[in-house]
Amino acid sequence: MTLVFEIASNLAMFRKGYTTTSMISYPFLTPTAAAGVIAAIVGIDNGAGEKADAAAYWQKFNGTQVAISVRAPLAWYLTAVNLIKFKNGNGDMREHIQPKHQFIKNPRYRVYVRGGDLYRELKARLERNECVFTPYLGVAYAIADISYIGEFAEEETTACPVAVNTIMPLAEGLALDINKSGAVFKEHVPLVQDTERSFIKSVPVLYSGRAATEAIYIKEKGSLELSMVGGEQVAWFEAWSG
Amino acid sequence: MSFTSRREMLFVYVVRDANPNGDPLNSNHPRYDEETEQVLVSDVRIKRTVRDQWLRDNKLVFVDGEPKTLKDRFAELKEKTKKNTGREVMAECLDTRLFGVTFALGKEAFSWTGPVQFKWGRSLHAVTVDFVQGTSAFATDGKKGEDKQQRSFRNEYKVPFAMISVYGIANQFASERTGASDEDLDALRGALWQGTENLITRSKNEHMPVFYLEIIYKPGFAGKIGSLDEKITLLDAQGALLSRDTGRALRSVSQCKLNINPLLGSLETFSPHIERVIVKRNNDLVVAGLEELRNMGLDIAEE
Repeated sequence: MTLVFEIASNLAMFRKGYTTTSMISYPFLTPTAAAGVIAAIVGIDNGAGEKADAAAYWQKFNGTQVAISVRAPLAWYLTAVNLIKFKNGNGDMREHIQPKHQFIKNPRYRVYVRGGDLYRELKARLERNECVFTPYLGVAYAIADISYIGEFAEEETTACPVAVNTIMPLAEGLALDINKSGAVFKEHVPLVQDTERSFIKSVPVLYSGRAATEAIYIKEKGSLELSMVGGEQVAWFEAWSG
Repeated sequence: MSFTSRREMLFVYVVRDANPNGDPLNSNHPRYDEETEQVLVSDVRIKRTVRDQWLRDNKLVFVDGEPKTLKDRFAELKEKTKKNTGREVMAECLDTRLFGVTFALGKEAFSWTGPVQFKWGRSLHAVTVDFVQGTSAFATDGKKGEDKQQRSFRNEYKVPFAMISVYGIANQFASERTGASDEDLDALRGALWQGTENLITRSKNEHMPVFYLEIIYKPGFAGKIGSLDEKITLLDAQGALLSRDTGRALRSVSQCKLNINPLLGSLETFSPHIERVIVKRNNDLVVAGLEELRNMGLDIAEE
């Protein structure tokens, strides 16, 4: 079974960790950010109160698998925010910096979740429209609204060609129908972090170049895990091992 | 003692002939969504308004806005609070209890997610932005051997009128870590209103709070209505929806009505979970749906 919910806000910024002064965003909710949202819904403390860079919830994601689709056309908003410069160990507050921020405007995502130890708790919280910690999209001031779509039976897709409705991990043996897809973009997104927020693994993904919301047509699925969920073709990221 | 009930807040204020929040990347032009012509206000600006009011009220605030190093500020607060560690000192400060803090000094490094978060504020209508120039008061010194002294020009942006709505949420679970209390939340409500009235710097004159609505849920409730700022609209004085043009032409509160009717359906749905609703209003503002809200059978406190 698969749980499906949507998350939306006015702004989002999923910061690329390797950008230095300017805050550049991934074009959509990354799997790691989806993990954070799920942890907020079920209420797993990240442990940052003890250690600033802790992300303790990663222990709980054993067996959980997600897929993500973009439901609002991709649009950007660029601005600068006045922040205290906080660079060296003794934290000089005299100086301010105005780093550029790249935001996604009016984002809406659909998140599909299957398997794992958190599934039952997540389902219970979603059904009661609860969210233990305040959900947001990448930055705390992008407070988000979550709407539960439902729980769906999934059916494994074996026959191709098909139109895939989600962001698609680039799998071995995958063959695109580029004519029908129109435009397809590629991005490298983080998939796994450890409990100290260290980067462990990223994956190359494909998304529609038509405002990121359109389907991508494939001729061969190769090793891609593909399911039919509530009338949509969903491409899964690999399961987290926790 | 942390608070036990979740709260949602909606705050509406008016800006006249001032700059709500300049974008440093764009010559301090008000933050602006070119597609919708709405002005935006960052959460940092809103929290500055609140902190400045707390400082006027002699409350203990960590980020006091003064130019000093973190080390110096921490030393000052240690002295004031007679506490030693970063965690102990931060637990004494009203702003860090409510808004959270990332603290990294010496060997102590921790991060508290603030129980209170604000979204960026946004105007409820299309707004025009004026570019104004003026002469500066003082001339610069003439160059060596020359008598010539020159005045320079100053440039600034102003919006003639903008009604801005801000949404915030207070999360009881996050308050367990920071120790934010119900009294702290009451201090936040007061400071949002008074702090906005007291924004009397050159670029922020005039700012006026006009409407405030806070939903206090019953203990144990872990849901939310969400995005209260999107569940209100602005109407013209006759009660018709504003077009882009009529939105741009607004110049005073008397030319419009705040419509909270879209929010009432959600309040009805969530009413079994609502303990109390606090409403505060500037009498100049007409609020469509206020009478209906009063008659919903909710416990309403009007301040």
